[in-house]
Amino acid sequence: MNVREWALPVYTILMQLATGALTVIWLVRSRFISKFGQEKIDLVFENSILVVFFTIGVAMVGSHFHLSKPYLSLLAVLNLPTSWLSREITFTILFFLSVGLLWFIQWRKIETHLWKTILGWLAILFGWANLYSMAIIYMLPTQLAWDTPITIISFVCTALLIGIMALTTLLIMDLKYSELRSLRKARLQALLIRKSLGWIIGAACLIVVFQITANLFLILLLNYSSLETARISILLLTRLYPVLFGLRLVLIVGGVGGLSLAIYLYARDQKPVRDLLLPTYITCLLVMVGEILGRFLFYAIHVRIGI
Amino acid sequence: MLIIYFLYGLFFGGLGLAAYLQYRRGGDLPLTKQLPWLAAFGFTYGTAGWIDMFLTSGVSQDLANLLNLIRVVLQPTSGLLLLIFGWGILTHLTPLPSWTVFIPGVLIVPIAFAITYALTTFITPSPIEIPIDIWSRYLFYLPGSIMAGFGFLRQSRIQGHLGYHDVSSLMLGASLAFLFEAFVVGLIVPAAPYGPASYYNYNRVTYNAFAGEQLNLYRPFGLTSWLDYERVLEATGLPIQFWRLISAVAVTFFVVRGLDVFEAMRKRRLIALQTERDRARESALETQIVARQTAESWTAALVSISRKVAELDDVDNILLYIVESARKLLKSRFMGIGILNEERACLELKWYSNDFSTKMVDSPLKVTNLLVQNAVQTGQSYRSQENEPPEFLKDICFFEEEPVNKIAVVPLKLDNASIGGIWIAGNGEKPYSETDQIWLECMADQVVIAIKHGLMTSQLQSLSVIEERARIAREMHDGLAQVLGYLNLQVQTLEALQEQGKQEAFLEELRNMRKSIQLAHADVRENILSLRTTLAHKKGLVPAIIEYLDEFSIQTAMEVEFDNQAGDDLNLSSIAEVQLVCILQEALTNIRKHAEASQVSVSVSEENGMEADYISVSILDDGIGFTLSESKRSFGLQTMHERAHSVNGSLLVESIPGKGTRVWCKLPCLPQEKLGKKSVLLS
Repeated sequence: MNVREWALPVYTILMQLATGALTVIWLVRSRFISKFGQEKIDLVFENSILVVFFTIGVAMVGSHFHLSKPYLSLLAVLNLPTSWLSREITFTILFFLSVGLLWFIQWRKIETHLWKTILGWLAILFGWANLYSMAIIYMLPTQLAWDTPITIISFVCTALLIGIMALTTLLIMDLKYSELRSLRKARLQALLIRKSLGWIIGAACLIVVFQITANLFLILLLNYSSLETARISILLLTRLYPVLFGLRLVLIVGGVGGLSLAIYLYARDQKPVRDLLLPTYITCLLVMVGEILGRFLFYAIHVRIGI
Repeated sequence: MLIIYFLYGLFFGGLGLAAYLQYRRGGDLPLTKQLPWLAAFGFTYGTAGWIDMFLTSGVSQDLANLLNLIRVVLQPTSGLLLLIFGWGILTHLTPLPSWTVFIPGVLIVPIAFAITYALTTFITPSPIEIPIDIWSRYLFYLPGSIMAGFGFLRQSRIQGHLGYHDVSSLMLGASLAFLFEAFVVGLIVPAAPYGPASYYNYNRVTYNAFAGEQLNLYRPFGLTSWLDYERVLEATGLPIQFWRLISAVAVTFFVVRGLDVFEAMRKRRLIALQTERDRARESALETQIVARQTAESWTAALVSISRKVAELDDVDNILLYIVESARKLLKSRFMGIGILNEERACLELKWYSNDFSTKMVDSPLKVTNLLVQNAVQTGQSYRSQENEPPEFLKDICFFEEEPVNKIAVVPLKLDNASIGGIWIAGNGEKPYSETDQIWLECMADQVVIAIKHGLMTSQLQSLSVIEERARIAREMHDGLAQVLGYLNLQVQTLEALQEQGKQEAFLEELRNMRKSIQLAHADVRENILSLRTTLAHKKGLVPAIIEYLDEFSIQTAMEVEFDNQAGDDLNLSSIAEVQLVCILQEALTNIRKHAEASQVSVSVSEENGMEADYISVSILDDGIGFTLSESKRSFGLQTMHERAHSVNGSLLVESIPGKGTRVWCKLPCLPQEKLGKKSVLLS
């Protein structure tokens, strides 16, 4: 894979990260808004939404490296009624704009509780629509390894998993920043992280199980297929990339398991939340490498049928 | 090349050894904690350099395989150690700005992609040591050297700001050396069929790493083949290994020198700390001396006040001394004592001291300041806290207009009742301290004690008057009443003699009666004189004595001489003055009654004793005298002794029968500065 080819995983991974992270943010927000109040909880997530916005922007810029004529990228939206690629680009733009607006409302402290909540869910909807479009693009009849619902499941799982890991890292990083600056919101941040970590990491474990199951199911699917392309894909996976495939599984299991263990140990020893930053960062990196490896393998094992 | 690899290994090994030795020496510098990583990096990287040397020298295949294996382990290990060292240098020596906490977060996705990409390259057909070499450089050496470079750069700037320019220069050198190393060690990698090496280092490798098929030449951003081993050789005439050796020499030189300078700096800091400690000790000593001097000054003032009180000095003098002493000791502009008036409704300034004078106020001045009034009313001390509104500090300093910015007030309590207050005021950067307030409270106690003694003195004077009245009553009873009773009997006798016609006896009794009447008359006049002299000598003691002696002389027809060598002001306490007059009266009465003298000499002189000055009074007559054994039962002489002793004086009586009597009375003076003012309290 050269730079042009790596632009695709960069775009897909970053968009999945942004969608997953924003989804988790909004779920946590909905869960605790009644307890902490809108003003305080929005203060906690202000920087996180900015990071999501920034991530979408980087993903959009990165995607242009895949194009032969980047300056004509916007023309792709013209085929909206018929093309999933056009829909993907459209939803990407809508996702970018809605998250940008959401951050602007937060930043300017505009008192629009209902509209902000609706806008958040709308942005998430755009994000997931974008991911769905992204997955559908790959589900081509000519690409047997991709043309299964596992592609969608895999994309969803990746989005949620790296969204959770990245958001956890980001929140703890933001907490540390607040503590260094002695900001008043630090206490609230720590409380929110403590209350959220349990079920967030539980969800991550569940997603990993789904992820591994989906991967194994894909292998079985390809293995039992009578088509030559499926056999070649299996051969690529088991002969050329077995180490990378194993490493991917080890990394996501190790990452989520390591974070779970770290959270358990820190909770048992009653250590401050900010001290979780290093283990969270390392495990997030492991999971992210595992997921990018998964995306690499996703591209690497496909075998085209026909021309 | 062998020599280059040898020196390369030698320098990095030397760097490791120097770092290790420095670490063993210990120290309190933050850099010390990072030295083990640097030492480990130096040893491992130096070893890798020597392995290159052996591999280049042409060893057997088996040994070459073994050395390659060791190198595959050592290279990423040394890179990782450098990365940890660089991270430590950058983040742990001095705190980074808080926003930098987000940098790893921003980099996490690029890092994840880089790691993933690196992992995928390991499945290329090239030998394993190639991706190990390349990714050790890209992922470890490059960021490690850059972080170390920027870490030393920060140190350079910090040391420069601290004025340690020699250290700053060396840190700058180390920074540049590490950045140079980042370039030649971290960025220029061996040939490989994948990016980024294949983009800017080696465009000659143009086949697909995974499929093995040839690709067209790809030039993203035009960065192709501009920096590889061959280009370095072509451009400089020297292989990349030479430039890496140069970077090794530079890094080793600046870091080792830097470590020495750090050590020197540590010693410098130790010396500075020691100097500072000595200075602090001297300062503490000076503070102690000042504190002791202050305490001594206060103690001296308090002792002086106590002595004045004990000596029954005039209460006004004591209070003026207190206000002046306290004002000077507290370095204040004004100090005042206010007393509540008889109705206890109004606080009036009575004594004060400022920079120009220390006086008793003639006409009462009402104190209107709220802080002072409040302290007096509540009985609670108060001192400025630097937050009073300016209007609260008005009307504190009498007789001057300049405002003050601090005040301390202490109430005066007599028998648990507030009778007034004492306050100080001045200007200064700091308000009065708690210690100042404590000293002021001590002064307030002294003021109350002085006032109490003043009242007691007044009571004693009243007692003296009562005693004198009793004496006069006794005299009248013993003298005038007896005479009148005698005269009554004589009149009856005269009537009887006239009826019997005994003219001669009648005339004799009449002469006796006249004598008795004359005696009674003398007694009465003397008592009147005594009363007048004892009860009021407003003109002063000496004029009162002179007047008394003149009257005495007229009444008794004795020649009285008065010799005053002590001046008009005898400097006696009020009570001593009263006792002196009483002693004088008693002595003259005795002369009139018993001495049959014609001449009396009274002399007053001043004697300078070792501990105090004295007033010596001598009363000498030329009468018949008496023997002292006979006089022991004399009530009058005993009273005179008691009067003298009551004011710490002494009395001596000398008498020779037929030649006269001398009474010496010696009473202690008050110190020189005392004047016989009448106390406002006693008035």
